[in-house]
Amino acid sequence: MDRSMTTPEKGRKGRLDPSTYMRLSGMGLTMMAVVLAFTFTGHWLDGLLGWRFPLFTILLALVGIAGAIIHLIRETGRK
Amino acid sequence: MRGVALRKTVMKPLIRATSLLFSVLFAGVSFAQHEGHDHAASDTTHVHEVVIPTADVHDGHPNEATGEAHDAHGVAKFNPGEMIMGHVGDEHGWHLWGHTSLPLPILVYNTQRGFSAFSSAHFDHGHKTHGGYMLHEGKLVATDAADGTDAHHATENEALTKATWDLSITKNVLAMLVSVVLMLMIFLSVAAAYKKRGTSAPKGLQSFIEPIILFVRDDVAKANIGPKYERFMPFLLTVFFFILINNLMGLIPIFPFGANVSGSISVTFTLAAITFVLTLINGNRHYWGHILAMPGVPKPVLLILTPVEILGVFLRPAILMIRLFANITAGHIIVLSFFSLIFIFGEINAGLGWGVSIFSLVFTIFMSMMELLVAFIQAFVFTFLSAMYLGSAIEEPHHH
Repeated sequence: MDRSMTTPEKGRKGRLDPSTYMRLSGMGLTMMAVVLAFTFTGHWLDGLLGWRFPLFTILLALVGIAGAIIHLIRETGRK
Repeated sequence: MRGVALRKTVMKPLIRATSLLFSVLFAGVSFAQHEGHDHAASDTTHVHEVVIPTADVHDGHPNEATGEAHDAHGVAKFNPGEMIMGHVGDEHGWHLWGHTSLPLPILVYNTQRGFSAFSSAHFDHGHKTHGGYMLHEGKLVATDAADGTDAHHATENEALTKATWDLSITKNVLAMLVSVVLMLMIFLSVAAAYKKRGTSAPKGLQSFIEPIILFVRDDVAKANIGPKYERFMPFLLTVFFFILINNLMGLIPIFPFGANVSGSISVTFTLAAITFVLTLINGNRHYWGHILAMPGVPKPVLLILTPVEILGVFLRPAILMIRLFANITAGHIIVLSFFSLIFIFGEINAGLGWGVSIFSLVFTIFMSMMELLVAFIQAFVFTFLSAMYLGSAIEEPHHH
């Protein structure tokens, strides 16, 4: 909405700019994929190290969740 | 305008519902198949009594396209899972009706055997081997069995299968070629009309196509890419019309239409890959700067954000690929499921089948109308998002 005001070319006649919601249309899958990618990287690292405690699986899963949320906030709050 | 508002309020939940149904149906199909295998395994010593209409039961050979499996008494059993998957998938040869299908050329290259070409009719709907190859669950595999051996008793040569490249003109390939011919016919005639009429008012097919082209130019390309949009117009228009025409062709159930081209993951993969490569080639310093080191973000956060952004580069085309594939395939599965209901109930009782067919018909017509909308929306969404990614790749830095 705010975006359509700053770029007059897009939001003419007060219509809803599709790019505002289209940008977020894949967000759910993106968040899921980010968390999974981080978790599996951690799992792979743990397999490589062979420690008894799966430190990197847990750590990177949490980092992945944090990353997904940061990404979400940045994308939704843009402009 | 109202169209956009409608899209937001009505279409979003509907698309979501469609995807949900799709996943539920897929779960159903895999469940049914498991049941079928268990049944086949446990039933070898028992008297033949078919309860579950699934494939691989007894010695019946399922026909993928018609979804028929024969029980021990030779009575055809209807198998909805087989029928639906046979219709949404690709096949060697084009099933027309009943047991009639159009044979298509099999072109296969094997690194050890070399190149060979023959008609898919030799496979006899997957029942026979030919030229050292056979069809296993619709896939071309290598075998050492002699020509004309029953494919169900021939064993696959897995090492040779790995060295095999199936380059056949399958149903989807042929349908794609038909769509290419159709597109050439439409656009060459429209182009000729512009040459002849110049700037005067459009006429006939030209007046139907012109607003769509202008829509892609103004609302998709200009809105997302900005002043440098012209470079990408050929790509965006081609992608839009290719998807749209193949979506619409997929809705017409008679030959040479009805193939599920835009609902084939390899087709959507290729389309998304083109967008991906174009984004990579055209990405400027500003674009890569934002991915590798987002300005105005503290260093520790960058450590997390940069991998996420790099992942995003690959995820965006991946989601583009899945979205088109899932939406179109889901629509086809739903329509075919409504059809299947007629035969599922018809097997219980003929009268019941006729009764259900009325409801099936109404729902099928309703879904086909939905699919007509989805055909346009998905072509639009794919083009719009491609334009958006390209726009972000060539975007110049803002001066605040």
